[in-house]
Amino acid sequence: MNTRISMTIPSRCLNSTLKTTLALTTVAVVIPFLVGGYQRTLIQKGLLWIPAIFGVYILYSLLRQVHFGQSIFIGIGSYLTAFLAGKYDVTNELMILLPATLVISIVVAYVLGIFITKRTGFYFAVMGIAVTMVFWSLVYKARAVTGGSDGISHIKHPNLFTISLNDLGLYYVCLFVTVGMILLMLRILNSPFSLQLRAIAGDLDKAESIGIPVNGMLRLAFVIAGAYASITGVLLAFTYNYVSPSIFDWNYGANFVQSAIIGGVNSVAGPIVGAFCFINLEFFISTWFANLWEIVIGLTIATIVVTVGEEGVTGIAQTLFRKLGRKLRKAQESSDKHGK
Amino acid sequence: MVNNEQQPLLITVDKLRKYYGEVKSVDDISLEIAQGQVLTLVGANGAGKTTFLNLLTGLVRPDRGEISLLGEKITRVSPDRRAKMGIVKTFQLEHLFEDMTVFDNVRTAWLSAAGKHYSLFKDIGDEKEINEKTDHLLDLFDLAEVKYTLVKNLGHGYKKVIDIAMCFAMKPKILLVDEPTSGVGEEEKYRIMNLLMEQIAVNNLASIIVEHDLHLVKELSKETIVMCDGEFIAIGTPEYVFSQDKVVEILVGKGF
Amino acid sequence: MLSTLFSYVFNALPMVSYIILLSFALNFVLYVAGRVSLTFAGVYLVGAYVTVSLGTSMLGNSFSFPLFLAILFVVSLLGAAISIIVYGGFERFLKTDVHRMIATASLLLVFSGLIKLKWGTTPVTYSTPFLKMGSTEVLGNFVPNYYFFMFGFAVTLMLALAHFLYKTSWGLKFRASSLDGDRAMAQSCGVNQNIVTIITFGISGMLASLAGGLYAPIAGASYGIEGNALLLAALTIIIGGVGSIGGAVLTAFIISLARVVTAVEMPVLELAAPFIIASTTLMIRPFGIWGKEFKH
Repeated sequence: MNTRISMTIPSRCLNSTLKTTLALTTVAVVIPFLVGGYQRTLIQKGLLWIPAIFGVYILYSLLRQVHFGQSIFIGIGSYLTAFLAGKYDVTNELMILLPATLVISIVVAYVLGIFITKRTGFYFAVMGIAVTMVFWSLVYKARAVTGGSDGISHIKHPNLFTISLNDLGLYYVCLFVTVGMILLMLRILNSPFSLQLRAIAGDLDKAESIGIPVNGMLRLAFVIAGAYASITGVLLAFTYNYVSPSIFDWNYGANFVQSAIIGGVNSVAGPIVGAFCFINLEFFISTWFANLWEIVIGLTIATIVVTVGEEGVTGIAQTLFRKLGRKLRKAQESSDKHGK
Repeated sequence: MVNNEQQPLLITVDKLRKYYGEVKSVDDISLEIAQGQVLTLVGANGAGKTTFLNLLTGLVRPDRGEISLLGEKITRVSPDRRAKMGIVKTFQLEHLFEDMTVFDNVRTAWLSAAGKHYSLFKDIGDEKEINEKTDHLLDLFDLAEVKYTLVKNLGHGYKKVIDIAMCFAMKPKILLVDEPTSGVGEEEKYRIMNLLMEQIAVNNLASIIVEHDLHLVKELSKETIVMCDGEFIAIGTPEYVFSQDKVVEILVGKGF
Repeated sequence: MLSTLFSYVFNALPMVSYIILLSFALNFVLYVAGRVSLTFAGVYLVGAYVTVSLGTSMLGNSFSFPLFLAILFVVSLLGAAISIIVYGGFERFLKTDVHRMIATASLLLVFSGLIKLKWGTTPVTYSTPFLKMGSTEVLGNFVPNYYFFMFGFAVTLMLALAHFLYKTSWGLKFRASSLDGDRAMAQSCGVNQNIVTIITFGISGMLASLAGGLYAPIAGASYGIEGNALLLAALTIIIGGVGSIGGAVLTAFIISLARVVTAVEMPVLELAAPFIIASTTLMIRPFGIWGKEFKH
């Protein structure tokens, strides 16, 4: 056994994860030619949700914290884009918008993180919700600047290195950015930082006693989650060409937690599975049983949490594979015996 | 008081007090500890020993008094910074990262000691130096065979040693050990204590070891403090200390 | 000048009352049962809608104070029942605080969805009690009597609760099982933890639904009020601390006055005000101004 093994992502899992990512990426590259524009937009939304859900994932799986506040940073990314590429027509160049949003959201996350991460658990979750509501009210009331409840539309098409992107072009940018962020997250999850985060969740007192700056690291995790969500926000604004204060609803932030729970936070594939399960569920229910959406998603999550906790779909799949593997091995052993 | 006259002062405790309501857990204690000085701390349950250690590490804030490290006042310094400054403590009850392997537990300690808290983009397998140091420490403490076992699947004796090993990764100046042999079988007790004392001596660490087993203390300790109701009532060699009337009274009365 | 000051206070009374009741619904569960539970916000929602519904259908435009009290009584029992059923049938299976937060937050969605099915998203109102109770001139302000009624009601409940907790033997059992005490010890002293927890959730549900019911004649019932209720209650806990009745009341005043004053002077900051207070409190007193540092 070599020292690459860390309990965050065992190396054999890492290789299969990379292979699966490659396979899925290939599918995603080809898919726009096989489906209509509406489905492609849905896939695009699913892809863009993945980084935001990873933000929830990193805080849940490594620190056991519930982060309802990803909507804050998606909102920041979206509104910045709406201002710069829409209402105030400053620039629609992605190579400027993305880095700018990243910097601004990192600063905001760092500052907000001071209060939000001061205490963990219930307090962390509630302060996250509080901030989303504050942003909501600020954006809602400052009509002159933000368009209030009308929101902002008429966002120009994005440019990439001054080349104007049509819908298909935007799709590939979203795919590329998402895959890049997934790979980066895989690296982060296998870093010294993540190992120490797991230690903090493992035993707080011991972590402190070996010198781990608990609050500082919690803040960095929060900043990473926010940075990821803000990139999602930028691209979502371009995708839907519309931003409104409802992006700061705590219900929207809760969607990412729900996606993470559906997908499962015990596996690195969780956010990806969760994104697509949630988006599809939402689409299906909203189309056929629109007024039952809250009841359906509420009951689904409540049931999942009470039965499998945070294992989610990926957890169930892992358990099934293990049981199947054991059955196959037993069958193999007994057939070997009989054979001999 | 037996003291290494030639070694400089490491820790100064000045009239430290911690009351929990009416209970005088630590009652105006003053103490000087030199570098390389090894003390055992004995006393009945509730005498205040763990509280005293927790005051030193910063897990508990004192009501009054000052603690200084190498002349610098550290009473307001947070626990994680004090650990970096060299004050490291093991835990009486089990406090390890249960869902991680032994290797990862010790590796975390090394990473933390090296200050690599915010290292996001390096793959942990590439940290050659850290991985080597971890292997080295595991060998030193006879933990190599259980390297890749999850801590929660190991016995009490192993966990005590892992706790101690992790402390050594911090390159402590003073090692506070809270009951290293509690809950451990007779044979293991000597093994653990000998290992501990050896590593302390080799690294010239100062140390305070809280112990309940008086035979162990008499055999292996050179300097003992007896604590009762928040006060240090006797300090000296085990022979001296256990011959004091007031100490015997407590040992018989409160029962170890 | 003085009358303006008092106008702020009077205008804040309804919000003070409803925050007192709501925050205590949450506080009680956190403190005695030692668990996180967001269900109270859903019960609040139900309380508001049921009060409006019963009021409009039974009393309509005529107003009978005793009947209104009867409605509130029914609503409080309903709230207690819902809270206990949700706990017994669902919440008690949730093992960690993280699970509890996510699962009970999801339940809020279910509550909200069910209400939406029956009443839609248009707000419903039942302002008859509020209008029929008239107003009194006090210190240069015309204050609706309903404000005094609501505040008096909330304070009476708080006093009753305080009396229960600190002056009765059952209250002692509750405190022994709380964060201030030790559940295991209380259990071995013969205090049945199941009964304590069930009653705790019952009281919590009662307070939450009364908050909704009392506030309904002023604010009506509408879609989404449970989110705001949840937030205000939680912020009150953060600012005031867990386990202190007096602290909860004072914090309710602080938050309500902050909101009323900013609503008039600086409307943009109205929702930000409680958050700013909470953030400041977290930095200087992480356990709340009147809170204690509990060992977990």
